[in-house]
Amino acid sequence: MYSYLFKIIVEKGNYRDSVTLMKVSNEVSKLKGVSQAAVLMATPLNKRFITDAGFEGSEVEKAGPDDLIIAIEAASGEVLQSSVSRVEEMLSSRASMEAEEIRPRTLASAVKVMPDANLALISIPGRFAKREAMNALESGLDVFLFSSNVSREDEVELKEAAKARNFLVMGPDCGTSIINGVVLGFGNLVRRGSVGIVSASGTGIQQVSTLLDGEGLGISHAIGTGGNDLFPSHPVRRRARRF
Amino acid sequence: MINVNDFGNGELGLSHLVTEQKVRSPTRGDSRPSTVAPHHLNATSIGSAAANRIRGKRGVIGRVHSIFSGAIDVTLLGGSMISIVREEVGSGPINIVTDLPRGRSMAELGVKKNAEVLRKDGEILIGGKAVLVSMRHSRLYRTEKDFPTKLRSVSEIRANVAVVARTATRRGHHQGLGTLIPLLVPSGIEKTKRPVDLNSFSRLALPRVRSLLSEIREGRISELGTEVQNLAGLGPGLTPSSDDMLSGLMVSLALIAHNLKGDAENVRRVNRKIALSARKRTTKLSEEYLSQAARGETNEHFQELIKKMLTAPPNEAKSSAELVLKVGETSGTDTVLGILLGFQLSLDEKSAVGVV
Repeated sequence: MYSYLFKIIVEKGNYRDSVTLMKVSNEVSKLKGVSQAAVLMATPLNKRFITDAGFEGSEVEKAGPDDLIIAIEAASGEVLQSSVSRVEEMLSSRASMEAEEIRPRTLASAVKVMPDANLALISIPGRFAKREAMNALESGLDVFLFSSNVSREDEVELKEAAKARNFLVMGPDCGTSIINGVVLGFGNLVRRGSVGIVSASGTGIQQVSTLLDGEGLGISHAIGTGGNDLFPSHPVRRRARRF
Repeated sequence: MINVNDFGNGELGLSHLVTEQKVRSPTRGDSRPSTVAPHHLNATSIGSAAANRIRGKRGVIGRVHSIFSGAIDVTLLGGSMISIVREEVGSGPINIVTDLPRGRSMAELGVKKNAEVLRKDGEILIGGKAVLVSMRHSRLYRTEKDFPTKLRSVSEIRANVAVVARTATRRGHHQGLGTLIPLLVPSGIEKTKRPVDLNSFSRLALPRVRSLLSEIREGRISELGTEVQNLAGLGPGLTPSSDDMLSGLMVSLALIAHNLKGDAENVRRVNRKIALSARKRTTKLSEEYLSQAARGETNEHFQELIKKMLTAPPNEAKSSAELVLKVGETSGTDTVLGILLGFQLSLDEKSAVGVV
């Protein structure tokens, strides 16, 4: 039979939004050895809520609606201390400050939220991929098209549209690229340098880039093209020739 | 989406992948600030309550209360509050909306909690001179209460209520009280969609909300206090979920009664009782929102949703709901729950706040 310890901390005037506090409570509740945890603003009803859960003490009674209460119950003092540290770490992290950041649900709204983005990574079922890739091109973005099962006709149409706008569509069925040192898909994090790679094989890019890295050489860009055969006039091949 | 320039510019072509950080358009010629600050923002709108609260004030007017990515909340010297917000948050009674570029966070501006907030000419200075907000070209925002567009029939409005309820059930954030929507607002979806498990706050809130609705419906205003005190402040964050729900309820009751020629005085009494009963039971910021909502004052997105539900076809009401559901994660969904409950009470023939 276990005996549990609990700890209550009141932080005066520490204001957080609901989602941040719910995330922290949920994560800490799942830590090994923690039986229950609650992190919430000390309004009278919330105080009653945690008192009913067994967290009682003068700290709770004294706390006011604009104070934050951290209440944790754990199997040992050690777990209790580490859980409190974890809560404070999460609350002070930038991630929690940004918890109410907008999460766009469409490409158009994502472009508004992140106006300096210049590449869209698209990984959705193939039959829907063309529409999103075309939207991305029309929004001024290059495209890394991870999706497979995109018809050849759609692929050609996308590549022609990209060519007309001087953009690049990597893929469809493109799993690996490294652009300006940013690893996309299954690329490896390798040092930057003067060697460029263009390949229809993702594993080829992985193997060659890591071997070069091992030899002290770096990669400028590694462009995946997707697995389809390309005609000489195809825009990707012509773009690849520049390297 | 990704900016693939984070590691420097490409050297072998792909120059089109390199875009420079967008530079903000220059502001109008006559809006040059009188103070130099690292972050200069222009206010685009100022809520009527915020404008009243800072009108004629000079020097130190308050201190920073809290900082979020979308807002810097300020406690003014008299204890009331204003919020300096990003455009996405929208105009609202206590909001000063700024042109902080999308994607940037208010939390990145170097402002500290408790920092002084000063008013100087047409500017607000936050944290010494860390952030300057120029208000020279801001417009005044008041919640639009008269909807000039022709109102829909009662059956059409009921159809809009059902559409918004279905949209919120499918697409809302349900960590707050959102799971109560199919239980409290029948829209047909409850017959086909498997009910979601209620979280601990929703479980506590459900009987209390039912009881509150029953008191309002039966016109027992003097007894509302206990029901409200059982709800106000319930939920973890700075604006607890129950308060968002109560705000939505009060605003919709007020705007519906105003436009559908309901008993506006009775609604005012209900709302006043709710706001007064919530005092000291919740956070200061939430008290502010409740107090504004009692007067029918709210954020532009919520006002627009209520307007669409009263005047527009279902597809427009649905689009407006989808926008609102994105507000502040759970806040949008919790407020929509309140708005739906306000419509339900108003369209109930036997309700004391009914308009039909």
